[in-house]
Amino acid sequence: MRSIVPEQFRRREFLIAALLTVLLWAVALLLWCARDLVSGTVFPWPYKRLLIETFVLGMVFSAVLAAAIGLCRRLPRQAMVAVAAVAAIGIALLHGFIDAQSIAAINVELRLPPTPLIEIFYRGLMPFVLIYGLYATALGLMLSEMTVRESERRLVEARHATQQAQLAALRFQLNPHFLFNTLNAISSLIVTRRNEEAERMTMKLSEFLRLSLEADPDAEVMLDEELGNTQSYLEIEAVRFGDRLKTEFECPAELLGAWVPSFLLQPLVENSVKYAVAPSRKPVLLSVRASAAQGTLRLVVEDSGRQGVGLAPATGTGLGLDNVRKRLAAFYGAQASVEAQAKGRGFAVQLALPLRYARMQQAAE
Amino acid sequence: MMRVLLVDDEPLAIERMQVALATIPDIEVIGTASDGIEAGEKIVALRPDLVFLDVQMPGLSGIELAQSLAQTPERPEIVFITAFNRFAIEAFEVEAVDYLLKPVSFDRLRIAVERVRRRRELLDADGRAAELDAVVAALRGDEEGEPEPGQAFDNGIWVPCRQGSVRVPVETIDRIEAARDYVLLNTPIKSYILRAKMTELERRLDPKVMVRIHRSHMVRLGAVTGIERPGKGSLRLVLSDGANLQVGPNYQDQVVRALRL
Repeated sequence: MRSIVPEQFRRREFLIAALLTVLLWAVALLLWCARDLVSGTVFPWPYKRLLIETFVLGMVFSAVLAAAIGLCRRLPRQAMVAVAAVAAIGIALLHGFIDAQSIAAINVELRLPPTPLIEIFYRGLMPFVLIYGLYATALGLMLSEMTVRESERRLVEARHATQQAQLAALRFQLNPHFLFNTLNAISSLIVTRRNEEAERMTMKLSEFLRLSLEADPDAEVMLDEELGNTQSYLEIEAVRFGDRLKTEFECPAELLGAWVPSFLLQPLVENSVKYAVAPSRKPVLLSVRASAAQGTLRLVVEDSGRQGVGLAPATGTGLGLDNVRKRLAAFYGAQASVEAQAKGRGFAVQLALPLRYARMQQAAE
Repeated sequence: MMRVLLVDDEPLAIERMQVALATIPDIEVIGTASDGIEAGEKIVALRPDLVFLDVQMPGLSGIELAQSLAQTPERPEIVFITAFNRFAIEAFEVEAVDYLLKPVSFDRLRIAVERVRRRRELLDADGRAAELDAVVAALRGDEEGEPEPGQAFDNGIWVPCRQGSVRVPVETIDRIEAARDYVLLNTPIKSYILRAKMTELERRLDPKVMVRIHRSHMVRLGAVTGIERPGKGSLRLVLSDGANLQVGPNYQDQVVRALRL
């Protein structure tokens, strides 16, 4: 049977049990010696030998008891307590009996008046019951506390893993329509022998693909970089859509060093392209603006029209907005917010997140 | 001369199609449109024989346009073009001669045009396309003999369509392409999209007629017109519709056996 307890965890259990055993028996030994040490009378040798024997035997029996408790730790709590109690009392009785026999032998050896074995047994039993009882209780408590801590640790790990997975799932995912339409456009430039344009577009696409493949979903980047990514994406879309897409970026220089989650804006600009630019026959202005107030960074992605030809303005945002909302929550909790609203014919999304700056040397890089 | 209308909202995509179609003889591009509404108007005004229709467009999407055309008499043949996931079209149950993916290779485009040509040649007086496959089957049936009664394999595949279902006889199918949960049954005059698994089809079809050559391809042995060995043990099949398909390494033995190479 394979144990589900990790190796490292079992080593720690063993160490704790060993330490507890030595400590308990050392204290017991000290207490047994105490009366004689205080009264100043020197022990006869057989008693010293008996104490050493008791100490060694105590260790052995403790190890047996620890093993019994360790073995039944997977049982339900009540069963474990019952097993531990029975084992502790049994071992205490056994050790007490052996001890009584030894004392009887010593009595004979020292020619003391004979005492019935059963009386010696009764008189000496109580310390053993107490010692083993205490030992079993302490060990049981420690083990169960360790189990609790272990499961808590695992819970924390599981939560962390879940969050990582969520962030990974929420990361920017390359839109296949975008990719194939762009390849189609590049191919078109090639077959119509516009090599330089094809080359420029290939470079833009590679740059964008590289950025998106390298992007770490749970990392933050400087706003400068984030706006750069958004810009290279929009430049590619501008080649595809021709004069139907106009873009505008607005960001105060001092905010370029602020931290934002990587590719945070991507789903929003993709939405605008999908729901505003693609369905429109007229030019659409897509603007990205950054501003700051009272320690909060505000990012706005706005488009000037969602008027499909002959259709009502589309307000669809797909999964993009939900994705951005979840990602901001994962990063900043309640400190971040997302607001989306129709504006005239267009649509605007405003993100608010804590304003934090990258360190100066990083900003300078 | 086949008169063609190109419909795509991206100027570069239109230009590419113009260049590609210029390499095919007897084709004339009579117009272009950049959205569904403009396309609808031009179809009425110019009466093209064939429309290459982008699926994602402003206004009326390619699918909506095709649906609105379905009832019109003398409806032009439609070839859908999409950047990704052509099988999504199946959900709309719009009939089309072919489904192409961007960027469309020039060879693939030629196959699509050929298919439209054949279809138009076979078109009967009423313009009823549904019977065409039966005509093809009858022609093929003369060559290959009727299937023996009581055989364990299917000799036709039922495909859902707008009006219900049509039975596509196996002998009309040149090749079957697969992608995820969908298969495309390619006949000389039309493609049918069907939700099915390749392994399931392979089990249902007679391996003496239709053989699996690749994870995502099956071909009818009668449609194989040539083989190519580009070297290093690789094998390609040339089909009657002009398709040139790679044989997967795991399927080489069974293809060699089936074709008695």
